[in-house]
Amino acid sequence: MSNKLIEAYVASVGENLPEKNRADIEAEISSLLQDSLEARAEAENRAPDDEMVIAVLREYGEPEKVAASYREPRFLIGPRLFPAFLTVLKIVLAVLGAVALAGLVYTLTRLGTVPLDTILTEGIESLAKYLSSAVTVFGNVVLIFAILELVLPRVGRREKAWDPRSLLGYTPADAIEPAGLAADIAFCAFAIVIFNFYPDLVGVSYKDGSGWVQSGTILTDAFFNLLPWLTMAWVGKIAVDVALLAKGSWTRALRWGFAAVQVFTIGVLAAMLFGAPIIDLSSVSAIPGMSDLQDLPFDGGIYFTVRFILLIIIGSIAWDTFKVLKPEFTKKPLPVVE
Amino acid sequence: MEEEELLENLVLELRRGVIVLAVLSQLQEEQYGYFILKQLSEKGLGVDQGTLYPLLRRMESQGLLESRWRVEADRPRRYYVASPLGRQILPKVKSEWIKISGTLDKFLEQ
Repeated sequence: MSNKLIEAYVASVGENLPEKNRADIEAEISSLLQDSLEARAEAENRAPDDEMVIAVLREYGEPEKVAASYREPRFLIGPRLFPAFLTVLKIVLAVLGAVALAGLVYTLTRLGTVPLDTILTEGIESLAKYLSSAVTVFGNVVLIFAILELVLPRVGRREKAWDPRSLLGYTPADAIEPAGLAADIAFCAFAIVIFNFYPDLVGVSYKDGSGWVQSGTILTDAFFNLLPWLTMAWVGKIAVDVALLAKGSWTRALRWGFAAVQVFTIGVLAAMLFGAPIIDLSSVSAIPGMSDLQDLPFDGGIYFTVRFILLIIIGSIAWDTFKVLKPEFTKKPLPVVE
Repeated sequence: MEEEELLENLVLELRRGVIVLAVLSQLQEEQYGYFILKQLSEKGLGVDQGTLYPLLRRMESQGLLESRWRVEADRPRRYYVASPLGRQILPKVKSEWIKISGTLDKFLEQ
């Protein structure tokens, strides 16, 4: 039994070791166990037996713990990215909650005066739908940050010395915000996944006799024609963000690279702003009982609202680009404290 | 019980802090893992094997140690020895330790 037990122990440790060093560490542990066993036998002045093997293995420790001591600490989402993860999660869940609440209010408004139990039923159903969506969103955000956790150390991010003046609002000209960049990467990745692979999620869900039904996407062909360009812009943004995290600070090349991606994004958004509408509510108004949607003030201004939002986004991107490029044109840049 | 546990953890942390220096000082000649463990223990620095063996590999990956397998009497064993970098760094770490130890002695005399 002795040898079998040692073999089983070493194999059990090996199961939890990285494949790269597994055989080598297994061989070493096997050799060390034999040394311990020999020493114990010598000390007790008798031949090694099962009882002795059990004592040696017990002393060596649980296989999982032993294997863990040979591995570097690993995190699904480590302490460096966790604040950004929480920020993104709070924002996404808040937006989801706001949409769910707006949907509930809209449904109750359409129903007019209804008994309390109907309101309660609608409320509970909306809450259940929100929780279900929240779990999906949570999973996706975790997945994106887990990928970032895996990839970012490989790009060798360097950190600049912390400047205490940042507590008073002073920001060195070349400082970056790692948490903000990580959040940015997560949002871009999330947008790429949703718009390219799950466009139906950008729609309206409604309830008929058989339960909740998805209306289908409200995005138009005009949007999908521009989606490859938009995806390129998101990918470009992710690339610049990753390069910034790797470098640890702004450089001239990164400023101009960032500006190029931003200008490209503005171009795509401008094409959406001035081109054919990017959303179409006909699939929603075709839903039984929703045909009056066009008459609602909500729908009357919906196309204007979308264009207005696009305009705000373009303005915000242009402002960000201006802020990033400003030091390139400022004669006396802010002093950088190393 | 809580006090004993706390004391045990504090002593463990203290030992962890000095074990790299101790190992480096003992590996001017090739030695295998179990021998190093025994040697440290006999000299009064008992270290848990779950701490020492992974540490030897980490020190090797940091370039402080070198290792090779040797077979003696049909028994394969991994032998470790201080690398040129390890030998170069040892006097500097030793001098830092002497400074820290001297300072702490002064603190503790008060």
